Order: sequence, then structure tokens, then C-alpha cells
Amino acid sequence: MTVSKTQSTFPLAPQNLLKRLSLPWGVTITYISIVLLLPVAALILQAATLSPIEFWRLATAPVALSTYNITFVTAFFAAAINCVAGTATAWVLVRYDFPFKRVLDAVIDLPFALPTAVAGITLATVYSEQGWIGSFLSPLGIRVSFTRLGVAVAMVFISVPFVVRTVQPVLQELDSTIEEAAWSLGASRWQTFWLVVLPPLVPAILTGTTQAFARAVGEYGSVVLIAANIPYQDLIAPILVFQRLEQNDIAGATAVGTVLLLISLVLLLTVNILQTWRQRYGG
Amino acid sequence: MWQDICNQWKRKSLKSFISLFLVGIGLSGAIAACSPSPDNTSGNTAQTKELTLVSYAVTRAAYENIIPLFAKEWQEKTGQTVRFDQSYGGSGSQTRAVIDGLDADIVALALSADTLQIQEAGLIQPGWEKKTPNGDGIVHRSVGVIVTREGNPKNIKDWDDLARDDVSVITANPKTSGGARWNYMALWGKVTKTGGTEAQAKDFVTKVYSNVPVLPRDAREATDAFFAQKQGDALINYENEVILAKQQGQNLPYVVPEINISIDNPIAVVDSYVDKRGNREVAEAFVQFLFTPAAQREFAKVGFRPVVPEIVAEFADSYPKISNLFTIDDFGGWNQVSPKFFADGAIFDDIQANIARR
Repeated sequence: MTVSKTQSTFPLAPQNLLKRLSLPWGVTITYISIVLLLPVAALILQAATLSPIEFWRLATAPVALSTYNITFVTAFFAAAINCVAGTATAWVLVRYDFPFKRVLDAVIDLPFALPTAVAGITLATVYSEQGWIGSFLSPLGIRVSFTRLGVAVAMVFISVPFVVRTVQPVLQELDSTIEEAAWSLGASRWQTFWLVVLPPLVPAILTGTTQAFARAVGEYGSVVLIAANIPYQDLIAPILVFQRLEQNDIAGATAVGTVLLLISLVLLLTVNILQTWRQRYGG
Repeated sequence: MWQDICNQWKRKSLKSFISLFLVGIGLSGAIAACSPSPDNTSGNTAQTKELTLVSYAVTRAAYENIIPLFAKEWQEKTGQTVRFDQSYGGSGSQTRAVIDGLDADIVALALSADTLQIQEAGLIQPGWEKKTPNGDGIVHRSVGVIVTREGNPKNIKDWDDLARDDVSVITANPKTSGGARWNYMALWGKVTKTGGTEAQAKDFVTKVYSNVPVLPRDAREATDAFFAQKQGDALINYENEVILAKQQGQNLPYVVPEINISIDNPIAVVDSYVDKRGNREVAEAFVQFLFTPAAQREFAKVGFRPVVPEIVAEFADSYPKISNLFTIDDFGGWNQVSPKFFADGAIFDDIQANIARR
């Protein structure tokens, strides 16, 4: 691996030439290029081989449009659920002591370690009409497995750790004496939470929620097993990409993949800009 | 306070990042070292031949019995030992793997459309069908069946029942599953081969697919959805799958509709790979061997309909004759069927859009 080559292509603002040529910087740029930038560039180049008209036709086919809608809206709800529940979980893990707390803390990371196919098949069974949870829901007329609700359940499951793990360390650093000070000055519990505890947590919560959302958008393995995968009902974009690949329709797969990439990129950038803006003015 | 944490974290993370990165490099090196070397000529000495057979999931039971028979015969004939690498999976995925460079000497796939894809990729020379003893490239057959729940509570007897409002049907997605295309064509032919028009056929198929609550990727997943997840009242499947399941102790009620499609499973030698690996002679001998009574009997034992008259007669009791049997050639062959029904924006896409609009 030659470092010098990559350096010339990534000129940084020449504030400090020495810093720029340092080993960590070279390693980082090389690593990020090989692991992240090259595959993304390959995807975009592949898309560039299509004529704009053809790309537009493939990317905006009725089926494709319905999958974007289902993917992003469901992922948004999954991230929102994790935003609230994850913050609460982090709070409990930091501020309370109870038996088996360490076990619960370890279990949080399970969705990271579990192969998504295992997660999918387990969820599909548990939430099916005969399953442990599904059997309680079906008398109420709620079907989860093989519906869009199932897609949401899978997305929530695989993105649980993000918010918890980003909020936890910040909470640990928060001094509980600050809360006590707020109470002693006559703030209600709610005011304390809203005005004292929450503000320092917001960047972490936002970061975690964004990660959870991005992860849910890209999820394939668990959703493919719990969804019915019927177009216009609960077919998500990553599965459509795979289906098109299976039909040897590389162009169609690339078009949908590129649209997913662009939408995700714009959303992630927006959140990042919001974060910086917040830190500058509000934080 | 916040700044301090940040700085501390930055200092720490850079160190750990570099060390992690190095660990990553080491790991990938280790993985690369473990992967098989792309040396294809290994083992192909004068005394041993290594053949790679790529097939779809359900044929395994038959090939595991046939391969030893062939190896024995080949040993007696030439003195060479034959070793087989076998790969089984969904027919479509296997096709893609072979096109992408999986060195298969012989491909035994679920439908000719897949073999034709490999031919289009330039790996199989045209005319592979002619090289088999029967001259059609078909090594075994099957028909479509409808599997029902225990005791057949919905009283499902024929394709027509699958269009009823009170019946839900499980079948895989014909866009991704080669096998599900046979199911689809059986439903279509049920109308057009009994005097119906194409418009009527489309209506009928739309009715059936609007009763489909799950659209799994392949036949394997469809079977799982029906049995493990208890979805649906009926499962469209192949006769050979059901017979094999029965032999493994799953006794399921099923009906064989009298109007049915002949599911023809092709076999072919992959010319490019056998020439590269010097396996042509033994691979062609293996394909010939599959048409001997001994090999055909093994296929028939695990649920496939044989293609050699002698064995067909022998198993006449197990495989009832179908009164109205049509083939894919009656629709113009896969070369015409695939683009007409399953391409992007073709009839099946249209049917799905119609169902969504209801």
C-alpha cells in the first residue's frame, strides 16, 4: 500500500503540512478509501454507465417508488421508537441498580452480534399467529409477521443498541448533583428533566437515532424473512435490489441502490449540519 | 467538561483505531490465506479426476446415491478415481454463481431457462440438449402438486380452488424463483390449454396471486412459510419435493391436478470449464451415465419422474399418468416465456400492480 499516492489526491487545507503527512493521517485516508470510498465510487460509476433517461425510468418505476416510501417511513418510525425507548433504557442502566443489570447491559448489544437471518427467523416465529407474542396479538386483529408491522419490528430490533450506546457514556459523565441543585432551587421533576438533563443529551440522542435510522434503511437479512415481500405492501428497497440482482438486472439494482445511497447521504449530512449548528448556537 | 471528554476520547481513539486497523489487516490476511487456492488442476492427475457438480437443493438425495455407482463404473473402465465436489442451492443463485466464475463441470438445474442463461454467458456451447441420449437435455421430470393442511379442511381438489376467496395460497416469487415459474405456468396453462383466452388466464392467475399472503424468495422458503410459520391453506409445490418429504416422515395430504405442466429438469456439461480443467471426457461420461436404468432408478426412488421408458414402466404405480399434460414448449419455450411473463414490466409485474390497486 503506498500512502503517497492517496495523499496527492486528497489535498487538505494546508494549515499544517507536517500534520498532513503524518502516519495516522495516511493510514486513515488509505483505510477509508479502500473500505468505504472505492465501493461507493464503484456504485456511482456503475450508475453513470446508464443513460439518464434509463436511470430515471428504473429508479422511478412504480414498484421502486413504493419501496422507497415503505423503507424510509418504516425506518423513521423504528428510529423514533428507539429514540425514546433507547434513551429511557440508557437512563435506567446508568442511574438504577438492580439484579442482573450487567446481563441486561450485555444483552443490549445482541442485535449487533446476532446474524440478521437468525434474528429474522426468530422474530417471524415469535410474532406469527401461533408464536409467543403473535398469539396474544391475533385475537386483537393485529398481525405482525408477514405484514409491514413485521418490517418495523425487525428494524426496531436490529437498531436497538445505537441510541442506548451513544447516550450511556454521556449520561455517565453527567453529574447528578446538577439535578439535585435544580430541585433545591425549586424545579419540578419534569422541569429538571426538560431543562437540565435533556439538553446535554440531545447531540448523543440525535447521533444514535440517526445511526439507528441509517441501519434500519439498509437492513436486509432479518426483514426478508419476516416480511411477505409483496410489492406495494411491504417490499423494502434493499430486497428489491436483491431481487433485481437475482433476475440478472444489474442496471435496475444499481439504479435503486444509488437512489438509496443518495437519500441516505442527504439525510446523514442534514443531521450532521444540524448538530454543528446546534453546538455553535444552542449548545 | 464536554470538551475534556472529547479530547480524551480523541487521544484514546486514535491509538485504538490504529491498533484495530492493524488487527483488521492481519485478520483479512488470515482469511485470505484460508480461502482455497484457485489452482484447478490440483488432483487432476492421471489417477484421480475431480468433478464439480452444481445442482439445486432437492436433487441431493438422488446424486448421493448415483455418484458412488458412477465412480465404481469409471474406476473399472479406466482405472481412474473420480472425486465429486457437489454444490446445492437455489437454481437461480447457482446459475448466477456459475456465470460469476464457480467452476462447474456439470450443471443440473431446475429449468432450462437457467441453463440457457449460462449458454448466453458463453460458457455452454449451443446444442447441449442434443448431447444427451434422449436428445432433449432433460434428465428427470416432475409435475405440480397442491399440498393442503391435515385432513384438507378447505376441500381443495384442483387449481380452480386456489382462486376461491376463502383460500390462501403459498408460492414463491416467480421473479426470483425458477421453481415458482413452473407453478405460475401451470396456473396459466390450466386456462389456456383448456380452451380459455389469455385474458381469462390473466384474470385467473391474478385471483390466485391475490390470495398469496407471503411471497418468499424460493421454494425452500415457501415450504418453510407453509409448515414452520403455518401460513396459508395450500402450498404449490413439486411432486418430487412432496414424495421426498413423505420418505422423511412428513406425511402431507396433496393432490396432483389432472391438468398439469411437465416440469422438465435439464442437465448440461459446462464446455468452458471442462476444457479448462481437462475434464470433458469424464464429465460427458457422467451425463451419459445419468440416463442408464441404474441412475434413473435412483432419481425415481426420491420422487423424480424418470425419462427412460424401462424405468417409467417400472415406477408406473408411483407416478400416475396425467391426462392433460402440457410442456413449456407449448408456450414457445423459456426463450419466449421469460420475457413475456417475468421481465421488468411484463405480465407478472402487471398482475402485481393490479392486485395492489384493488
